[in-house]
Amino acid sequence: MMKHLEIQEIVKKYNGKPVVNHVTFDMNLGEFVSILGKSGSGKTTILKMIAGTIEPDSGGIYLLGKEISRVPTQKRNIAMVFQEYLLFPHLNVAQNIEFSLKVRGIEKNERTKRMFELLELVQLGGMEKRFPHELSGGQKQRVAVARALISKPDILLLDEPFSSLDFNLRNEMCSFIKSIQRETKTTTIMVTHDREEAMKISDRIVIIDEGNIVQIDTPKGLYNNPTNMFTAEFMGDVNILKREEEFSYMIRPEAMSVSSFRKEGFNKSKVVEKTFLGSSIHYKILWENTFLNISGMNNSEEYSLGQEIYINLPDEKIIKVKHC
Amino acid sequence: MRKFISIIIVMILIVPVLALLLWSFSEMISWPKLLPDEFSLRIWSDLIKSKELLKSIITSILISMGVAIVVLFISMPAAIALSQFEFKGKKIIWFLIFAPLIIPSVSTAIGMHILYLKAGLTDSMLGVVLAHIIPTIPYSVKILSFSLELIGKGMREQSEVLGASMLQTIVYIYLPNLKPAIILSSILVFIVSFSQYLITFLIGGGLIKTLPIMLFQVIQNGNRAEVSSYSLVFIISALIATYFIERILGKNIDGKYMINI
Ligand SMILES: Nc1ncnc2c1ncn2[C@@H]1O[C@H](COP(=O)(O)OP(=O)(O)OP(=O)(O)O)[C@@H](O)[C@H]1O
Ligand SMILES: [Mg+2]
Repeated sequence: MMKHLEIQEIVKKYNGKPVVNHVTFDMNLGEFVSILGKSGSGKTTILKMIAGTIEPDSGGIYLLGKEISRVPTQKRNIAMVFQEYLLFPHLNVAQNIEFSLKVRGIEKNERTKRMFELLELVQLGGMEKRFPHELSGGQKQRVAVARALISKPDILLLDEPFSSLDFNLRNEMCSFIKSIQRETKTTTIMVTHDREEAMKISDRIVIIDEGNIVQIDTPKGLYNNPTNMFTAEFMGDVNILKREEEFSYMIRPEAMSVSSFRKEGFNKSKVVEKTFLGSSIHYKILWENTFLNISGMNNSEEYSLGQEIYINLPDEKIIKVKHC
Repeated sequence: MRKFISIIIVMILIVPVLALLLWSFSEMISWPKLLPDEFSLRIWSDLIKSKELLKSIITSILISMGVAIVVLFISMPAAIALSQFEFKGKKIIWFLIFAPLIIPSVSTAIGMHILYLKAGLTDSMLGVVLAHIIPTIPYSVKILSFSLELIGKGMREQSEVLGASMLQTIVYIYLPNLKPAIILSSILVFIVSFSQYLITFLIGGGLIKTLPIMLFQVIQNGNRAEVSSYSLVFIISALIATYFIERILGKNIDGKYMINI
């Protein structure tokens, strides 16, 4: 099957330094992919090259097999919601949402009809006459999404759509975006530096560091089978068991079995730190000469500080990763 | 303290105008006296009847309006290029735009005069309008590009991503958001052009009689009452013209009219 979007070996340099370095990945129709990386890792630059506001120095971008990296932004039908929303301050909600239809010469009746559909979709019915400065952060964000979706874009690009929202609103918007994306079946790329957000919403995640792709996989694949140290540590807590020259061996905190009494195949260790985190409790334990982090659910057996406990490290749960 | 400062500012601005008003109603004032010996309406009644003065007011307003329009159309794309895009030689272009403020206008005017002679543009209103572009463009480009920098590149990128062409972006996004800057720069350009003497004199060859040209002739005559009345006419016509620029632009540069959604 033909890929919906293919990014091949794109490079962008600023002042001779590559900020996007031979990035390659592809997407299926209707897929939701997140680009996850730290601040300054080149995420926005990748999105802007796909949107067309930045031209790559080399490499290709293919939409349904057609090379588009030199096609002007206006002719791509790829919509992007920028990190700063960028609602037009002099236009009201309706005018903002209708903008892309207006500039494409769609007639007024059709525009208004579509605008009201989108307004319903983002649950802002009745707000069409408001101006951007009269909206809350979450409402602005929804207007920006509606404005991007009205032209039925081939690809929707979201640049850190939730970063300026507070925690609760963030979760709500995250599920909301996911449901809209499912409903409209729009192939979507979201940029974020929040791992949990990426895991919650994405079919696959592209991990990027200093302009290089580190690993691409499903959230589960990245968490359970990281191929390198960067991914392993980026995706969650890990315990490093053994370091060798090229590889390290590690295990996730919840992958270990714990028992309060001696058992076949279990090793003795001691609780040295205990942190209550609500649904779970984290312990730091000393096993031989190694400190390990383990976690237990709040409703399972609880251990006390200094208690001797027994742990089991199942072979199949031990992850072998490359240093990088 | 604040009251004191306001009073000083008012004095500095108003007193000279009041003096002009007083002097313009005098029959005769002999230097170094401040107050006229005799009051009369003679100067004003002469002025009102003067066809030459009326013509020069109209000439001046036409020229400066023309300059304001031409400069707006030139400096808009220039300001967009300078504030929104990166390209080689940007610093040189900035320098060239600002050069008229540093280089004495005599030298540019003489240079222009030779050029205009060859192009057959001397002694014409068009020539004067074109010549006024040089001293006025720095203000316009600077004000517009400053505002554009405040708006940022994001708005343009967003507008383009949503499918707008460059022209659509200018009309739908830049113009409405630049409204205050466009009004301010147009007024400034108008006033700077309105007060040009030397360039008008050289390029217009004395045939294009703007208000400043008339004013200088009157100054040479040396009648203080006459000079005062001309100065007042100058100030009043500039004020009225600025008021109309603000009204007209303020009404018409507006998202509502432009986008018509
Ligand atoms: N126009 C530019 N000129 C020079 N350097 C730039 C330019 N734009 C971006 N960079 C640099 O490129 C790198 C990547 O920038 P980018 O905006 O893509 O990062 P990001 O991953 O989106 O970061 P954040 O999470 O903070 O938004 C950064 O180091 C940035 O300083
Ligand atoms: Mg970014």
